Amino acid sequence: MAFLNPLLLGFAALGSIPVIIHLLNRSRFRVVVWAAMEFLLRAIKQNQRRIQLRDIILMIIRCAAITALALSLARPTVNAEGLGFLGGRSGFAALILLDNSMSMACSDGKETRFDAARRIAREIVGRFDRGTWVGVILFSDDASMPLGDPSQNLDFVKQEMDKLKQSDGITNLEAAMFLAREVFERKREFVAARKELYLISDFQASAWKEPGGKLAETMRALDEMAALRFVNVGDGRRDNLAVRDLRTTDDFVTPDAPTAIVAEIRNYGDADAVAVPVDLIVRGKPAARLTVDVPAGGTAAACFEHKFARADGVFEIAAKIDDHRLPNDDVRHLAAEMFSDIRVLVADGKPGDDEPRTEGFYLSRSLNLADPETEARVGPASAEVVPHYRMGDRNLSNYRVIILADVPEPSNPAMLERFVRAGGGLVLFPGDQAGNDLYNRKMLEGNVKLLPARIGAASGDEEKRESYVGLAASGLEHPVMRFFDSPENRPLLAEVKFFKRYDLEPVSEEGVSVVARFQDGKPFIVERRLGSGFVWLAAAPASARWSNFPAQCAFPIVINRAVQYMAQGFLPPRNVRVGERLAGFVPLEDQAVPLILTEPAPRGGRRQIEAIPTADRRAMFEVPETPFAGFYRVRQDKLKGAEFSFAVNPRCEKESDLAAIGAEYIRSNMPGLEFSWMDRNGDVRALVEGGRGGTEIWWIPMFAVFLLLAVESALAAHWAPRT
Amino acid sequence: MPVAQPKLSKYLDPKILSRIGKLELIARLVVEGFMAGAHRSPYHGFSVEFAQHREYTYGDDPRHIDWKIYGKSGRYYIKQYDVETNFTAQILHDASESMLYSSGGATKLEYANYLTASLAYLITSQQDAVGVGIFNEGLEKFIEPRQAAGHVHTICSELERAEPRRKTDIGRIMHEFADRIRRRGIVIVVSDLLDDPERIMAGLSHLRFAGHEAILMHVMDPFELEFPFDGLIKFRGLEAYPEITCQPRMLRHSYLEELNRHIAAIRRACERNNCDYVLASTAQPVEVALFGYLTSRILRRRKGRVKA
Repeated sequence: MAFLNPLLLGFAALGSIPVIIHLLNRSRFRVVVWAAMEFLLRAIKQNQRRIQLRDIILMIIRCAAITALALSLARPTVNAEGLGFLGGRSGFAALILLDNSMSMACSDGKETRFDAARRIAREIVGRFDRGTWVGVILFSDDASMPLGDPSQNLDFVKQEMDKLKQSDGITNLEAAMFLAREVFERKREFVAARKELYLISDFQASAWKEPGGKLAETMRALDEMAALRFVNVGDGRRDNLAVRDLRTTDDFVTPDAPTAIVAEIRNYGDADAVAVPVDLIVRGKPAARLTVDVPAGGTAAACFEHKFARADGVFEIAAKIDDHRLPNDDVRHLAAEMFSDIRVLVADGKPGDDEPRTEGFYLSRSLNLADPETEARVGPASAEVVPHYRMGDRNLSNYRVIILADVPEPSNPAMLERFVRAGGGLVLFPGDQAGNDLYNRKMLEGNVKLLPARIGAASGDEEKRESYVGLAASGLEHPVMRFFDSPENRPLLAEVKFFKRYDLEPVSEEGVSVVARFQDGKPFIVERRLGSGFVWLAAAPASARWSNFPAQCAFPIVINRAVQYMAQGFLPPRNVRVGERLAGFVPLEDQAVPLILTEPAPRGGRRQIEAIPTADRRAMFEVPETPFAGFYRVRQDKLKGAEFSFAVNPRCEKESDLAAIGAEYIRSNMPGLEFSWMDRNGDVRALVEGGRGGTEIWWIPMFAVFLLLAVESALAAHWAPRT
Repeated sequence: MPVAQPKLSKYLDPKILSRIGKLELIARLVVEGFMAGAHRSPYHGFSVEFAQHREYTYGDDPRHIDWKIYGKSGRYYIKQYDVETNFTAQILHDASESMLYSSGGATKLEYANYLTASLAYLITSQQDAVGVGIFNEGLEKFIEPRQAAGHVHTICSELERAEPRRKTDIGRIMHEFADRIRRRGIVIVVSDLLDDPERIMAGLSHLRFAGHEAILMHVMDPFELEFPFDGLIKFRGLEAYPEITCQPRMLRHSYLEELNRHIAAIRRACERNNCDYVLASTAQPVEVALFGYLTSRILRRRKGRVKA
């Protein structure tokens, strides 16, 4: 038997109170001079032994009652074996917090930390007494109770624990502790029970050193309500190499053109890593290998150059190293969408213009890029230039981007709006023929709101070539213009001169932004996001009359990047981090076709998901949880080629750093926090029963208190002298 | 050394006496009953008054034949007289140490003094003689019976002067009195009777055998009768008893049983010896005790219960 409040055992000394009172009373008596002593002596002679016996019995009962009360307050416990004869309800409720973040995949060669955590958790549950309530909280990005409500079925808990999976999320300790606190406070099984919290984790430093969090406060609150027991399954080593980043240097992957792919390798250890081989894998096949030296605590980049074949769809790219310390950060994934043939319809406002270099000319030349020698296409787009009045003949759904080049009057703006909302791109180059008032009225002030800016008056004179304004070389954050945001490409903008231009006044609406500005700060290109598509409005036509822009190198770069950008549409990202949601759109008519989600192997599964109709005649599917790193694929099996691929990567900046804290860190940073600490190979029995000392049986002495008091009252009443 | 004047008024409380004074006529009848009703005086008195004539029958004392009527009528008539009482009362007054007990009011001794003084006054005021014997283990003081009015003053002085000490030995005193007093009369014992009932009974028997009528006036404190103590008490015994510490509440039942057994034994002794027994609580006014006793005695006499 052990006592949870052994100090209160001292109150057992109060059991001598009745004796002390008796002795004190013996010295506190009244003196009466008495005459009829003979009768008194005879009465005493008759009763003395009986009275003494009664007094002794009552005194023993009173002493025993006080001692039993002290015993009860000291909260005696017996171990499970000793509880058998009591028929045993333990009165304990335990929460097991299991860290399943990515760092728990780290292996010591025999088992991963997560496997060790599950093993120890099972051992802990195995040590629980019958009747103990057990709840399991699994935490990484978020905290959840995968087993549902707390259970007293310990076999079930152990069995279900085997099914728990390790994720690639980060350690969100605060969320776990907050959930634990909520469970302790609200779950009826825990409210009245003696609470225990077992935190099984690798105690990664990054999780405990989160600045500004409320972890310490929550821990203290938990300490108030439960016995804290920490189990460290880490091995104390921090050496680890991780592919921290994988990206293309450009935002858009162009077919048949070399694309730079950079894999960033980080060394979290204390020793340099020499000649680390880095493999580039494209669509499951090795594409290249580089070796890099990564200094201790530093980063090295493996820069690949890969020419992607002309093919529509998503290229699944991966960079991989052989480290094996933490498998899930040894590979990084990238989903790069390729548009091999972006069809662009150019509506030329001056098809019969005598001037040879019309908007159609420049646009066609910029978009229909061909190898000068082989005349083979090299660009992502193919443009079809039609007179503006022939535009109505075309089926717009065949095009990804429509360019209205100085079209006098936009015909059927409502149709254009539907086109954009469905994911198409619309680029407006107003010039001499495009009346600004007419555009504003038909495409901004009416029911159709396509324009991202009000087209103001034209300023400047195309004849006065000495007076011009250039493009701003700063504020190039837009994906299209980001290309120029480098010392080697920035000069390309410097040659651009505008002699005449419209004043654009961007509307104050959501989704409207300025893509590029003139040097005087006025907008050159303004973008409006509409549905899944974009509308661009330029301040000058795509001809060489108002500017020299179409004749400059920057023009085909901008226009090709623009159509690539617009071809992608405004869609949820394909590259996300673990824990973030995935989403995509399918045509409304394909909504009924089953969508199959395939999660990364080997942990991921395969299941059907649903698409929900949206207001813009599409259906959206969503994958709210992405616990594993890798490629997630959503496929409509019955529709050929309808496949969506997403790359999900871990947050290496937190999870790949295996530096851990120890008990001392917690003691020094959370002073006053009381907890037990056990390392991976510690004694689970000592951990569970050491602090707990078995099952509480405080109710037995408490029952004895009431029983003794009842007996005492009954005897005292029975023996009390009748008056 | 100047002798302190006895505080007669202390014992003859006007209140008490005024109540008893109203009883004077009753008291006379009672005293008459004392003497004539219950015990015809063995002595001839001086105040014999003629009552009637009755024809002589065999056995009558020829000294009472009225010769004048014989001379006139030739028949024998005897004279009959009302016999007035003329008795001697002896009051045995207990002055042992146990009489010092008091639960708050008068001690038993003081109460006994009241009783003795009242009785003496009552008796002398009816022209009877009263003597007082103050005793504890032995007879400490004996005041010869007298009838004079100033005799009460003497009695009161002696009562005042008496110092309670030593144990009670009533049986011995009764024996001593029975042997000592030749003239038969009434012996009134005023005591707490804390003595062996057997010895008291033996003493009573001796008194009765000597031709005395005995009345036991048992003076007890109300606390002695009820034993209402609570808590832990050290009882310091009078009359050389040891100290005892106990919880009296636990003993009350047994104590009262013992007390009642003692009183019952004394009552039985009185009944056997045809003696009167009066239990007087010191909480009870003296006049009430006296009045109660005298009233009950009158009633008994009227009903003929008082045996000659």
